[in-house]
Amino acid sequence: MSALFACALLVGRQHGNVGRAWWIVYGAALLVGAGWALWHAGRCGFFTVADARVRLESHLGLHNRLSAAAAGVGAFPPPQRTPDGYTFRWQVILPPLAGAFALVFAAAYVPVTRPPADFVPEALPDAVAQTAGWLDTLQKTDLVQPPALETFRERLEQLREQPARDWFTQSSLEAGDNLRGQTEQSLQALQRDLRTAAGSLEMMERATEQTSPADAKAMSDRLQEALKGLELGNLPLNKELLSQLKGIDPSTLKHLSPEQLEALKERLKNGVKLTQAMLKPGKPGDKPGKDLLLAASNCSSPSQPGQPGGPGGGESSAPITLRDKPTDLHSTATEPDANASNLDHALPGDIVGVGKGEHTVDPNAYAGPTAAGAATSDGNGGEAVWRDDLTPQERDVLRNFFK
Amino acid sequence: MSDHLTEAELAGATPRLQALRDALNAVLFGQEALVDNVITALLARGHLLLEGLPGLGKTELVKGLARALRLDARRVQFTPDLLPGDITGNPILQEEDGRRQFVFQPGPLFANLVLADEINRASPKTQSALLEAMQERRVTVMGQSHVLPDPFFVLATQNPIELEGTYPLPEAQLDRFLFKLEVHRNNIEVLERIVQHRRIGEEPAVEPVLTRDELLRMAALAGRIFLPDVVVNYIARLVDGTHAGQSKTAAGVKFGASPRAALGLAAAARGRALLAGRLNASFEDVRAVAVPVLQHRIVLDYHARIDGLTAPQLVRNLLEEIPVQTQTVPSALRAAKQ
Repeated sequence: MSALFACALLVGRQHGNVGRAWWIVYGAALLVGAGWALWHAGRCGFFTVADARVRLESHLGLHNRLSAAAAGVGAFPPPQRTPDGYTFRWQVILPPLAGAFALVFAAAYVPVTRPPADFVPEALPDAVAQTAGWLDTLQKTDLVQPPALETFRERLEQLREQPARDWFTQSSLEAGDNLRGQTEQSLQALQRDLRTAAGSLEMMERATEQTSPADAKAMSDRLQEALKGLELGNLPLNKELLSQLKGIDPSTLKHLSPEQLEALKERLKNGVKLTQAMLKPGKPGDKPGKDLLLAASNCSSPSQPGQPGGPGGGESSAPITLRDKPTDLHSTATEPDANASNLDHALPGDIVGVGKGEHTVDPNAYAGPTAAGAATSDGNGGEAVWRDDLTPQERDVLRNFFK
Repeated sequence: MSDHLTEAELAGATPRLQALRDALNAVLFGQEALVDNVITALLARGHLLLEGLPGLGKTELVKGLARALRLDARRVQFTPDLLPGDITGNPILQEEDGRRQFVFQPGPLFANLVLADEINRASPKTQSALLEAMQERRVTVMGQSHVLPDPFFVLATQNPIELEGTYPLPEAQLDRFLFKLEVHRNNIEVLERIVQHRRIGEEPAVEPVLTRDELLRMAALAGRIFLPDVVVNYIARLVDGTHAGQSKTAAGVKFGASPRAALGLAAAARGRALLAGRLNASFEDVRAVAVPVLQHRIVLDYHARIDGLTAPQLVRNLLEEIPVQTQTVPSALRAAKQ
């Protein structure tokens, strides 16, 4: 409106006839326009009573009772309680609850296999027991330094402190074997060094004045080498004995009385005998032979319920049983014997191989005489009748035709 | 004083109509919707076109209706060689007191209820004779008009199969029928009831529940059912929406419904309201009778037919598109629950 008035104002000024009346008209037009705009905007925000009635009766399913009553036909229906918009949708709520209860019910009542509650192994695994025996023997004889034994004993106690049920698990058995292996190697090293030291003393005792200095040094070096092993090994020799041996060389050996020397050699030999006895095969805890392995695999030992089954093994092997009927694998394809490549082991009736092939049928082959005038299809009744079951391609063709 | 129906009149009519409904439901098992539509058409004084396979009980329905209303019923099997005179009646030369004169022998149309079986098998000439009688409620033979009995209802049937050798009714003649109803097959439970309670050749016993005069009075009451302005507006918008360009749904319509369809919708809505025991017709009544009233008055174009669209489906789409209220919801009320 203002744009129109502006144009008119420009034109009027060109002609010089713009007066006060122009502005009065413009102001009046502005007032009328603003009034109309306000009325229109306000009108859009309100409902008429009739429209409200229709909206209510259509949404509340009143079958236009309000409109009829407003027209004087019948009475207004009594006020009714309208739903607040919140409804329990049982079909949404119930399935998850039912599923949860079903799960709990299943967990509570599905039969399960319960492990025997009173199962307690009668003895420690062989490896652990043998290692414990070795350590006890070493401690009693005071052959090695006690702190070294403590290192092995701590690891042994870790295995012992496990629940008895876990003693024969795969990991425990492997740990026990490992500990026994380390202890055994340490004992072997101790035995070797003791034997070397005893041998060196023997040779040094027999040495005479004619023994060359080189031989004497060799004997001394050999003794020192053995002493080094006895001092720094996993099972270091008793400190008192070790200090005595450290002070011996071919020159100082003469200062020892024969009784002292003999006692020293005797202690070394006793150590060798002790370790020999500990490592002697046939004692409890020896590596099992073939029969023992077989017995262990069948869980025949009541005191040893299982043995390590190797890297993929479990606590024990499953018993081997045979069914009355062969297993039906529901196989429909004929398959060759997997071992058929070795025909030396083939039996009569074995399928050596299976090949695939298709029948070759010539579609143009002569099919026999055909009578003249014979129909290729009998057809169906009522085929001339229009049917609206066309394929999409046919519909497109028809649509294009009728365009 | 208003000419609208009163509560007292309604209270007197409702039990009688319920008795009629019960009687027909006892004849025709499992077809409650069909029975309601038939009674609605009777109250609206309109004719019915039933489409369904043979053996679904169309004839039994007409016979039961005739016995329940104590009306005279006739059945005409339409065939291609049926002549107009065979249904309207023929003048027969008779000699009386030495004088020869033509005496009109009324045909089967002179009954209150006429079952026109397989109406599309008759020639267009015979169909026209019947349809003229339906519209004018009288027949004219040799220049002499004969008024048909009142009430006069035609229940015509069409077989949706075996279309060869038939003369489909033109749209202008289909417009004469108030309702086109499809009679569907029964489900297993209904079939069990039919086998248990029916024998071939034995007609079910139906007690009369209404007299002819009472039926006419009921039809007059239906005519006095109040039709609110908003419902009239809804009917007008619905019928207008059937024409191409007037609604999105009608894009595939070649010819829409006529004003007679609007009158039929109003009459049928009134009849349904009376049957439901209400003083006024409503949107729900219009929606309930929209498909039987409009489906045979709409001609689809080839595009729509090729696309698989049917007239009943189009009417249902139209009911979805046309709102009962044209006034848009104010912005202040948009948050309210729909």
